[in-house]
Amino acid sequence: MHEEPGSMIIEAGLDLVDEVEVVIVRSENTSIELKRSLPAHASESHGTAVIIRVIDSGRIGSSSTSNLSDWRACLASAISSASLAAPVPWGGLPGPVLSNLDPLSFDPAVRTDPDIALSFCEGLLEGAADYPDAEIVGGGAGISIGSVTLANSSGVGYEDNHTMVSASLEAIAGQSTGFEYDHSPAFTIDPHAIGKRAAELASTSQNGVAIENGRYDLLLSPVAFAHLCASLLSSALNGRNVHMGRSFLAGKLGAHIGPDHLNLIDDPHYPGAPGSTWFDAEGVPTRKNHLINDGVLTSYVYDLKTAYRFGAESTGNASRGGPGAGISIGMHNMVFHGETMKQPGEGRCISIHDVIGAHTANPLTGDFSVEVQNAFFMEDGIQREPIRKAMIAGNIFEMLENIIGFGEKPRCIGHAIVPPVRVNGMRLIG
Amino acid sequence: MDDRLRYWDIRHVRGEHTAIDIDNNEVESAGVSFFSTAVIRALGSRGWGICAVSPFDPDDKQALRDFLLRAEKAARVTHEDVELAEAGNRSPLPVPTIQENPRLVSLEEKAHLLMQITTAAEVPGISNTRGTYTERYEEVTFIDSTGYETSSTMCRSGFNVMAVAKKNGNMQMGFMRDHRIDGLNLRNRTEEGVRVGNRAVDLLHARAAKGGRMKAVLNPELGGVFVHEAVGHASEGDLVKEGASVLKGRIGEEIGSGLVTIIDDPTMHSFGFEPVDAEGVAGCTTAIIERGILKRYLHSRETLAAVGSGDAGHARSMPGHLPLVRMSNTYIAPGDARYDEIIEECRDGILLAGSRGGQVDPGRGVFQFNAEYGYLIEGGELTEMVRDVSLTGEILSTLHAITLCGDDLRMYPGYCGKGGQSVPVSDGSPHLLLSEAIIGGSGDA
Repeated sequence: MHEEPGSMIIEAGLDLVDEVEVVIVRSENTSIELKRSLPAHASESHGTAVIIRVIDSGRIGSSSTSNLSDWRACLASAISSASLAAPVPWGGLPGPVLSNLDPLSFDPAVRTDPDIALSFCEGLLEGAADYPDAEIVGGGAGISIGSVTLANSSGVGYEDNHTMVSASLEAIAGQSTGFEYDHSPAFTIDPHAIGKRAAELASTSQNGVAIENGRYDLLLSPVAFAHLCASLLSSALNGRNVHMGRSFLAGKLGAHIGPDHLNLIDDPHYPGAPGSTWFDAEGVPTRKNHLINDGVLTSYVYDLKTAYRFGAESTGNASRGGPGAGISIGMHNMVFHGETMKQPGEGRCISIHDVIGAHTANPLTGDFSVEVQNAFFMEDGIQREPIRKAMIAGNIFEMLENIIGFGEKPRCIGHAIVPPVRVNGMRLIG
Repeated sequence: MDDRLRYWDIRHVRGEHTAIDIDNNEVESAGVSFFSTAVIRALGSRGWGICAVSPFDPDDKQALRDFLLRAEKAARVTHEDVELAEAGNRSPLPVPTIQENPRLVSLEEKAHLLMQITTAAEVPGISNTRGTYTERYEEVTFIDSTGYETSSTMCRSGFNVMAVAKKNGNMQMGFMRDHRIDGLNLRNRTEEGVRVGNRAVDLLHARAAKGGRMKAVLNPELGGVFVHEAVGHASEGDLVKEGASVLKGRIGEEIGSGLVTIIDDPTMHSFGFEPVDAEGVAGCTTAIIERGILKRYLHSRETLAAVGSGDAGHARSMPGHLPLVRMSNTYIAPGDARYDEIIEECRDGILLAGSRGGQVDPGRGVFQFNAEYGYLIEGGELTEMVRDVSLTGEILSTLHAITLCGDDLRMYPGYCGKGGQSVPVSDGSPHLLLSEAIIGGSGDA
């Protein structure tokens, strides 16, 4: 059964086109923003978006509106959009196959209560107080509740709910900065620990020393590794980029692209991760996709259109946010794992918390040169002197091959879930 | 108005967003979406309460009263003592004349014109082309508790073109973008397509740059990214107020070479222009640095009251989001050096050109950005092409390292991200010579 008004739009659309899909996204949010150490902004937001997609003779069109009562104009725009699109050998929207839709990233206890957000802000400040030489620049806490309802003309009528609780803090000590954040679908984040870590990063990064140009062994935090790798790998594994000739990994299925211990799985069912869902943006049931298996490239990721066009199968990786309210291909939760090291900071290495400018890497080849943020000399896992400034230069795909091992505790950073990563022999420019 | 409120304002934006995506000569998608969203700010006895809603119906007065009440209630938990500076000039700036209204050109014709550009990029050696066109039409209405009301419309449109060259397992990319506020820019642009294709092919033969400290020349596009990332962000009044800028407390100090004058100009009819800012204040030309001396910060009404030294009219926001202090059209004023003179003076170093974007930590005073390509400079002449070259540095030392400033200022459109919001901006520069720069690259020789 379709939820109203989805069924009404589908019924009207089927008079004019072969297939119709309607997605309704609702969200509410409350947040408190700190300026220095004072709550300065208290916000709430309420939003609705309706996304209509139509398919007619293999031509796909889409449109969206924030006003549900304008759905007729939105439907007309989607149909007009389809008339311009090049046709593909379309095999149909998915039918209803899912019965279990218990949300994977949702806690019914979460409510958008500003007093809770305020108490998280207080926790952030208390944690930061452990490092009195670090001043608070800003930060805050937010709570959001959202739902996605997807219905199509093949009988799908799915709903997913999600919650998100987040907090962050930015601190400065002299000219050294520190930033930390965390998020969870439940009220389980630890604002005290977040605040303490932000202040610790700022405080301990002061009085950095110079570093000579050369090759060094690195211990990349989950933040640094995810910022460097996740977006580039996601783009290189995108089936459309692969078949259109825009991916470094095209033609490399079955090839070794990393050490034997390296594994990468896109896991849409990872408990509590923000990308977790039972169905993708076009109602295809999601599944675990093994992308790198023991160092070997084993799969790309697809939406329906790309799969139909290139004779592949959708991997359940359609996501919203493509041009013109359309579909793009995206990852759910990229889970990295491999050889676990008891002490990934063993021997002498450079620990790097984050990088500046990761988005400026070459999206085709993976070549990058970025500035380090909160970097330290390290000996046998013990943090030594901070490094004043340095650039890491290299290539993402070569860097994967130089991964020696992983730490034990994974962390969720955007769409990546990864522990600390030990990479040897990377070039630093001081 | 609730008497517990010192001030409130409402910024409502409704409009349409058009997007066309052409991939390897096929229209992947082309369509129009619609939005109507508002942000309501209420200044209580201390700080701000904010209510953002989508959709928003300006004719529903009961709902509006409810949103104001919600914002007022939210403000009660704030503790920051916010004051607002006088709004100053609130007469909307004159908007540019539209040469050809994009909204009057059919989607089919726009797709056809974009296809001409991407097809032109298919020079020998190119394996993939992609073109995107975006058009954003916005009707903005701003009302505040003083009785002030203004409305304006803007249509921003433009295109991006990318070409990928491939040979023997090597793959490189050429790229360009052009976005405007004065009308459709898709006609007669095939030469740019050819240029994008040729650059991708040329980069196949370029080698990776070797990193290290050296003299560097920045072309106007990359010089624009430098001024935006390195100076523009650090001069934003909110960052100064919060202690997150290396430029805090330095008004009147010599922070750069005497050749350096840096301006943010919301009145310029370039991509960052708006008739009034997100607080209903008409922007003015703000000289941030004059001949090396830090003179002014960029401000909202709140940060001007808190920090001083500068101009309000620089508060900007995405539809449905809170105003933040932002740049508009930012540039280094031209000097008197000719391009040939700059290359000759450099003697041995590197020319960095085009941009793949950048990032700054304004508190630490460190920036990074990446060039699209570059050339080695040897004996005062351009020699070999290099790829994947970046520049990093400390803001203050780099501003002192500018030893020649060209006479050839050009502006480039783009989008700037801050606080989860992306707003249209432009930035530019003449050619600049840096006496020492830290260059990043993965090459060995």
